[in-house]
Amino acid sequence: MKYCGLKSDNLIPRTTKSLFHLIFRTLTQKISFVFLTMQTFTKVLLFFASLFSFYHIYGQGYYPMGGRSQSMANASATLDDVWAFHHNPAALTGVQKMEIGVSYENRFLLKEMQSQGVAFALPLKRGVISAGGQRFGYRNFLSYKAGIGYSMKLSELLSAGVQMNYVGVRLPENYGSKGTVTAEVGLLAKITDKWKIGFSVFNIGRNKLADYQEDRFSTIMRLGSSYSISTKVMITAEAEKNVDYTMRGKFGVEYKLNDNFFLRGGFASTPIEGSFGFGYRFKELMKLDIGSAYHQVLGWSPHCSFSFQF
Amino acid sequence: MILRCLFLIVFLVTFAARAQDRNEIIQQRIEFISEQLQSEDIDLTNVIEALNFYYDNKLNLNSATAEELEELNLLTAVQINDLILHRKRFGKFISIYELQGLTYWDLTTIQLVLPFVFVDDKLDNLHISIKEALREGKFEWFIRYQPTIEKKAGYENVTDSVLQSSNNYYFGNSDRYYSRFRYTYRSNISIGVTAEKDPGEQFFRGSQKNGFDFYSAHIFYKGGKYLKSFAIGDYQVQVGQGINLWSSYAFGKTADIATMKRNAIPIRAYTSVDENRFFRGAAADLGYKNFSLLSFASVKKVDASIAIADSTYDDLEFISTIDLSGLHRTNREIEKKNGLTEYVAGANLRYVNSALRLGAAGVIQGYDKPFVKNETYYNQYDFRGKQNIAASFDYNYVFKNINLFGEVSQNYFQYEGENFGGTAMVHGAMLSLDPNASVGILYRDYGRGYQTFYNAGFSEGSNTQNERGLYVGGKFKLAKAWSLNGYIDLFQFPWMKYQVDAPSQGHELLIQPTYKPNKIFEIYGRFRQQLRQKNSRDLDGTITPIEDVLQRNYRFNLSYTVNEYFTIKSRVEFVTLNRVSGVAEKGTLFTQDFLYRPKGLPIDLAIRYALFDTDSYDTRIYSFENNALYVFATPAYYYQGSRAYILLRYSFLRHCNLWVRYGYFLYNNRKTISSGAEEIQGSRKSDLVIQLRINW
Repeated sequence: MKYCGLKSDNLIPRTTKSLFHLIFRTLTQKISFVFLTMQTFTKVLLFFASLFSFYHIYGQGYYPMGGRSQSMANASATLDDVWAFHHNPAALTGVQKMEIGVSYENRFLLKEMQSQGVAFALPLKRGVISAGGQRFGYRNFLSYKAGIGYSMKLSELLSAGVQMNYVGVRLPENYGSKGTVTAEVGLLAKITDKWKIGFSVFNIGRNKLADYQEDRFSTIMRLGSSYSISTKVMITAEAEKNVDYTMRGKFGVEYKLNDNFFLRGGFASTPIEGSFGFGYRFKELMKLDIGSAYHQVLGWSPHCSFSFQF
Repeated sequence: MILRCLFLIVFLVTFAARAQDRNEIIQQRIEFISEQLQSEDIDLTNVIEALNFYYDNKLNLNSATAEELEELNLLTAVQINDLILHRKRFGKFISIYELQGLTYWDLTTIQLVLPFVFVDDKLDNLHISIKEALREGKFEWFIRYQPTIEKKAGYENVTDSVLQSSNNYYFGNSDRYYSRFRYTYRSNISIGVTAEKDPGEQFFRGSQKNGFDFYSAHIFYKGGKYLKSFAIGDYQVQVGQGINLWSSYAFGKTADIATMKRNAIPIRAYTSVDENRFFRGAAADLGYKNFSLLSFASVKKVDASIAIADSTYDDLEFISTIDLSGLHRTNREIEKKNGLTEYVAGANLRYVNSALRLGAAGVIQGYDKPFVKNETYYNQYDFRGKQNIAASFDYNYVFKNINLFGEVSQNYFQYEGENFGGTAMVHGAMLSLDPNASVGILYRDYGRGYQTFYNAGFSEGSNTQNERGLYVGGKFKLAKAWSLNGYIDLFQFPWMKYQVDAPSQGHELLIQPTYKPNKIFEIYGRFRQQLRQKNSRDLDGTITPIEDVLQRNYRFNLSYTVNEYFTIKSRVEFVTLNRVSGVAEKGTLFTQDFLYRPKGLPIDLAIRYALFDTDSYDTRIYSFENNALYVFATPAYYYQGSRAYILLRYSFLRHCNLWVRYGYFLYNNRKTISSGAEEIQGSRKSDLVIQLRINW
């Protein structure tokens, strides 16, 4: 694993640095380092180092949302439920009825790293109109996104979607808050009944967060594919490139145990992270998805989401 | 006359064709398993024996038991259960084609199993009479000769006084001799003797007055109602998932997730030549209704160096190291021979019904002298003293398409009045989601103080000790010709290890897509990434930090059976290795294999030519090589050069098979190969195997 933060200090955007300082300061106040053994010290260092890489992967303005996607390591560019709002706007054309969902995740079980999300999709006569948002962080560091989108089928085999989001970051007192409007687009192609390919870009404009050191919001491109091996088993694979960081490969499996119950699993590379979870569908209307991701050093990141169809 | 000639030709052709089939099928499986093991000396005798046996004595799917089906090592517990339930529900199979109707049997599995099974509505009930056993029994005799062709430094002609005072010279000649005689009646009776002399060991002189350096003999019986099996002489014992007791080798991570689970066979005859991993004594497995009880006892000599305790008030002898190499070539090695007596005894009580298996085992192992390792930080929790006791519990449960299995074990030993011990556990689940998709999950947690000698738990490290990890693998058949295998394994070592001066962790990842449009053509690609932490090579004389070592292997493999005479196989493999304190290293291996079975001649021919170019030994690439039956070769290719071998098998006089194999490595820019007593002057290293099998 690359502990990108520690070596190339000047490459880190300013906000990240301040987050690091803040968390570090809060923690140091609480823990007396005098009693730390050498080993624990290494652990703590590793923790912060990894925290950095994670913070970067989910850089400003983009966080995975929805229990189904998260249980499958976010290899979700082709998943066409309401959570597609956060993964690939084009895939929203798969939503047949008005649907609203809420989502929650707690990264590494740290109270400072919780995220909440919401997604809404309304199928129209032609196309699907959508809205959604999320927030991540706590009092001293907050990142958020909210926006609307429109998706439509260009043909039986190809869908497209666009989205506008207001994304922002808020830091305490002297640092203040910054925001901008970004554009997102996605494509979803159905190659056969079983096989789909999806593509999406977040923050096409590479909008600036601040003029200082040309600090920009992350831009992310995703190319994913899903394949239904049978009526019961679907596998997904995806490549995700964040402009600032190494490409991530992701792989997920969904198993339909019966009409209402789903088991899911997946893993992602650089950094290696595994995930799993299950989903339950109540009478076709309500969906509950629960699971967790696991990182070797930082541990568990449980998530859940609930969505309702009208 | 013409008719007779024609008949003979037809006979020969069909015979040769059959033989080739068998070799090829078994070779493929062995190749598949051995390539993953990443080790030069592996012993897959058990696997070959089982497959060979069931090739000759095909399993009747209408009568086969779950244990027999497991022994094939080709089916998952869910698939076996599926078959047995099908048999219960719908009665006997009428045709082999019915297998396609089984819920969790895909076409690949059926193809894999087909050579070893058949369907017959006559259930063969087994009765063993001495008369029949003598008439139907099979005898088999192997003799093998493996000379060392290039002269090695250790075989230099030196005077006796130099030989006696130095450890750099070998007493014996540089040949390996091997002989194995065995009588078998189906899988029920086996009696055999094996003998081996390693290169450099003496033969009928000096320290080897008895001839061979290693002898092994066994009498084995299986198949009674109450006396399920017993063994006298050399045997192997397997219990549960192998974390308490598993005296033979076991597979770890392979591209086939089915190998993550251990299928224990309580007692097995020992027929290999590893001089340590077996038991010598007696074992019996008794059964009553759903219960069976395995009990065994073993006493054998182990190579060890003896030291005298440095103390004024006791002059007790103790053991500082145990030598597992089984080589007795130099002064020091001969001195160590049989320095220690090891005794092992244990019992395993099992309960079995159609879905559930439970077992409990206790094993006690001891030495006649205390074993006291030189203590260092990393080995401070290892076994010390004279006696180790371990108790374990294992389970295996099949419910619909889910197979749960696991084992928990605890050991205990005393040293200098203090108590030591540790816990180890493994829990796994195999899910057959669909005939085309299965997923396996395995969690293991082996304590740093956990110690048993004969174990083979699923692990990344070489021992079932000091490791915690989660393995998840999957096998997916995507479309008619496409399949995808893969796994990811996250592991950590909570305590230091040899050459790792801190707790460390890592992962391993494998993805293998395969394109196989028909039986004769196959292409696969493989990506494998391993991250481990090792001591940094940037040393400043203070604390040694650990660093990430990242290895990536890329492979492209093609095999094509052109027609019934020719098969070609090509492979390109590329490896990269990155460590923080070193420069990036890489390696390439390019092999081309050619298998030829000429029409109308009882001959098989296997030829390889390969070029390799690796930056270092660390970037070596292992590659399976065809060899004489029961000879295993997966050598490491490293540095720069070429490799070629030719293997010829000739069947004659109905009962005889002769294998001759010659191969060599030719290195570039190298004046010597290896070092020490094994050093060869020159840039060529050759190997020759000649093996004769007579069976009747």
